[in-house]
Amino acid sequence: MKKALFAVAAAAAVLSAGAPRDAAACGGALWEERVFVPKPSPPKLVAQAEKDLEGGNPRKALANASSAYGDLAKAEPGADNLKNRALRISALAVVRSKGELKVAGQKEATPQERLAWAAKKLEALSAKAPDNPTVEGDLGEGLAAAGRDLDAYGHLAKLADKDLLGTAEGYSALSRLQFAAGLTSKSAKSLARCEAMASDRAVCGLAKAPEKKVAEKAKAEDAKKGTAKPGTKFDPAVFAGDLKI
Amino acid sequence: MGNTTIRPLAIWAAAAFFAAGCDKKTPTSVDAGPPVPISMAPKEPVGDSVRGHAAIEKYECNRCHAVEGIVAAAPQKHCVSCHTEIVEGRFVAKDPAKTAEWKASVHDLDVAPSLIAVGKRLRGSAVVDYLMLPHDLRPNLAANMPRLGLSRSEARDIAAYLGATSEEDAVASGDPSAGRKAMESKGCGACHAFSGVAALPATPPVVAMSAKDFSAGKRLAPDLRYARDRMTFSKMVSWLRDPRGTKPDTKMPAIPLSDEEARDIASYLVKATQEVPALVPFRRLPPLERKVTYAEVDAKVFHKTCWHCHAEPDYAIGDGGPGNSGGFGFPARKLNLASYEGVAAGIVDDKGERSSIFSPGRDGTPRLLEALLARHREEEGAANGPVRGMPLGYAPLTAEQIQLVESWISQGRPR
Ligand code: HEC
Ligand code: HEC
Ligand code: HEC
Ligand code: HEC
Repeated sequence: MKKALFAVAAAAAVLSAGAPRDAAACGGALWEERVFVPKPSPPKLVAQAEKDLEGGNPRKALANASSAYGDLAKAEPGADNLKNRALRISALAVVRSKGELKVAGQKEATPQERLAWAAKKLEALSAKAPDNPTVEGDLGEGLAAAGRDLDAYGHLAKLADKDLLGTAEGYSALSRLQFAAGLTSKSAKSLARCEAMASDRAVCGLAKAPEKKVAEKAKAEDAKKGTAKPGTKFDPAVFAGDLKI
Repeated sequence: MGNTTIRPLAIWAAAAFFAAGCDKKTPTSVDAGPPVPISMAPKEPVGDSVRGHAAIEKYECNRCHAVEGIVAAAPQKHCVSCHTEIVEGRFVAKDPAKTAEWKASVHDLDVAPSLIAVGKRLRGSAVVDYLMLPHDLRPNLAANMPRLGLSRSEARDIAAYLGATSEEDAVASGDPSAGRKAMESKGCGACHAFSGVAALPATPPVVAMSAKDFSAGKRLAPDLRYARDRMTFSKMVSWLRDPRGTKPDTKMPAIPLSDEEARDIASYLVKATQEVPALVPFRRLPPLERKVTYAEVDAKVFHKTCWHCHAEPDYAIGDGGPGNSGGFGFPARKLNLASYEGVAAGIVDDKGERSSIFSPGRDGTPRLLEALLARHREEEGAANGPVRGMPLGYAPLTAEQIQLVESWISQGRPR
């Protein structure tokens, strides 16, 4: 009993304070809520950064991950899982900005060098979490962006075969690699998966979906009529990553 | 926290949290017909109570039930006591808004029957059968007993630990029709359903009770159709004469009954002709035409029910719940239903490899959908199939929820 309580206290100390969405999970989760006042804290910032990345905003994602941890440029994956998540976000933010974004503390580098940095970090993260399809999918995406096509293809194709590739970005990269290898029908299939999964078809290198334009037009009209109240509208993109706690 | 044996769970409040929409089978039926022989369950070999103790710890029964001689699970692991604290407003977060928010969203598993004096109430074979294939016993309690991965010999060992070994019985004596009348006048129907016979009137019980005790009693009152299989005639009579003497923490009030009245009632419970309720098999709805996004499935299914057992351990202080980090005797399946990527990353299967929860089974049904349909079959009485019914220990999802999940899958799982 004593041991169990100690473990919770220790974990809470690592997480330092507060609790994002998952802290309400019922396996022994929200005990720390009694002890700490939730305010912007590494867990909240990291959760927010993940939501930003999902929502297609790598710049904001990187900013939030970096305010949780200031030394991501030099960080290596370690025992702090939350920091590992922050590192993943920073690497993917670089990948999804095509090397435009720079992680705080990094020396001057070309986009290509930054992409190589991101791929290295994703490789290290993947080595720490073998057999985790999410991490492996990210690695495939990162390797493809860094031009390491053969390595990328191995990971992405394996995951897609098992239906474990969980991002539209991953399918988009796979589709490009398959096309380059002359596997046109497989490439088309991957592109279709990308399109089905993505909330924004631009992720798949496709023109914006007409339905989105319609939605935007409707939104603009709402705004003109003055009926749109910010924050009260159901916005799936925001909701999906909503902080529950 | 080093307390010794039974941790009395103060779990009986929650008057406002009545389980709505539980299936109330319409009783179609007759009164006490001709006497029928007492059901004679085949004798179950007696298990080993020392092994039973170990099995109770392995399957973590103490996360939901009070068990004699077993220390309650740690507070951060105890499903029922944490939910009770939240429902009763005793779980105070530093941020008062959270306390209120949680209170509004927790409605189930704030109460579970205690396993005190099981042997004085139930037949050994009935306990073993129930542990192997639990089904909904209490129409006013939304939470169900989860189907765990017990072997029959472990179930026997647990029954032995709980003291439920005997099947010995006296011959049923008493007048069933007088028993029926006594039940009507004593107000048993205020708490109990007895499906399969003419509905009992909901006359208030003849003893004074606080509203809180009454509501707790009603939630925990079993459907009496199962009593004849669960109890022997002699145990039934002594229960009716003195519920609290049999089980000190029971929520069934002591209703004054003479020995004769108790026998009459027991003989009615044992002999009344019960109509078997017509089984209405679950019917799926056709897939939706409109677009279904992850956000909607998350809000109406994953986040509502599943996520509490299938969370992301990085955010949940090292334990992602029984469906992720393992628990209730299950291995860590690592299924994270808290995010889109988590859902896509699948489960660790029996071979220790990751596999997709969307992979088609024998008849092409994706595994996730299969799990949701299996939960319906479990409540229809089916044995465990290759995929365990989900949500574990909760009522099956509605046809509309399953339709939503199925439509989302067939649309390619859009974000
Ligand atoms: C997740 C919570 C949970 C866990 C874990 C759990 N149970 Fe239960 N159990 C319940 C609930 C809820 C009921 C009441 C179900 C009903 O009446 O429909 C119940 C009912 C029972 C009953 C019937 C009791 C009666 O008086 O009707 C027995 C016996 C039982 N459980 C034994 C066990 C054992 C033994 C274990 C461990 C191997 C266990 N349970 C684990 C929630 C749980
Ligand atoms: C430390 C406290 C705590 C523990 C322990 C706990 N829960 Fe919860 N549970 C909560 C809170 C808080 C919520 C509401 C969360 C929200 O709305 O964000 C909740 C909500 C739920 C819900 C959805 C609401 C409902 O009532 O149906 C389910 C299902 C659930 N929990 C299952 C479980 C199970 C199963 C266990 C045991 C394995 C468990 N919980 C253990 C605190 C806890
Ligand atoms: C206030 C509600 C309430 C009233 C009124 C009530 N009971 Fe109960 N009864 C319960 C509860 C709660 C249980 C479960 C006891 C436990 O497990 O602690 C129970 C259990 C039983 C059982 C055992 C059933 C089983 O399957 O385990 C029988 C038989 C029974 N009651 C008969 C009666 C009869 C007959 C009357 C009227 C004379 C009656 N009850 C009135 C609440 C009530
Ligand atoms: C009370 C906790 C609990 C709840 C609530 C719950 N699960 Fe589970 N789930 C588990 C456990 C434990 C396992 C592992 C079972 C096993 O190993 O046989 C599991 C396994 C699964 C599996 C894999 C099944 C298989 O055999 O492949 C799926 C799919 C699943 N759950 C989906 C869901 C969904 C969807 C929901 C919500 C509708 C849900 N679960 C709610 C505890 C839970």
